[in-house]
Amino acid sequence: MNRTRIFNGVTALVLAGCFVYVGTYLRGVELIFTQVVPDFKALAEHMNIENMVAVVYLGPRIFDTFLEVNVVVLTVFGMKFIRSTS
Amino acid sequence: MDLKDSAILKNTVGMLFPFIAMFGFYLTAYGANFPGGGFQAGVVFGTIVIVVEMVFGRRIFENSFYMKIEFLGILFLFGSLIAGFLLTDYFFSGLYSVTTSSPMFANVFYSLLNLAIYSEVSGSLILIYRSLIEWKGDEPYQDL
Repeated sequence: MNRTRIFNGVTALVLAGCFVYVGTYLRGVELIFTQVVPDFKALAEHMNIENMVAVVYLGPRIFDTFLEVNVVVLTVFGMKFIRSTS
Repeated sequence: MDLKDSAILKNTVGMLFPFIAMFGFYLTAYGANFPGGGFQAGVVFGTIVIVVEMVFGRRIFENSFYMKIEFLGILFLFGSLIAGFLLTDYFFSGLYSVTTSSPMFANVFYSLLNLAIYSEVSGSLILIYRSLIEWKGDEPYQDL
């Protein structure tokens, strides 16, 4: 029961942190939630990267990749959790 | 017939394994310059390891090894996130300005990030496969 509570608590904490971040501090995230294509040339100069693929990957797509990785990590923890409670 | 009894599968997978593993490294190394990257490379490498384990019926590495490389990947990801936020107010952007003259590794941070995602994803996939394939619903808990 303690493990269940800890797992639920940590998951709720992560989700709450994500919502707080998105709701209050949108720097970086506004690149994703926009209908206008960002100025990638200016972004490349700001990041000091010449390759445009790297600019797109490290700019708007980095959150996508990071959350994908988090999904995989959460799956591993979820498997551990299910096995521990069965 | 079991997978482990097929000589055709064993020979084919044995011959293809180094090339597919190399393709995974290639995707990681050139992810900065071409479409691709650490996640795809991790999936490629994790899948071929899973196939080898299924066909040959033995483990290449123990779970602890994959846990370690997964942990290192996560550590670097969160480290870069916090470092980027502290240095530039943007997540993941703290080390963007660290560049080299090499065309392949022009952006050091990007190569390291790819490597971290690669190790994390490949390790996680293998651990998920093992826990699914080996777990019986009524067996007592064993740590991964």
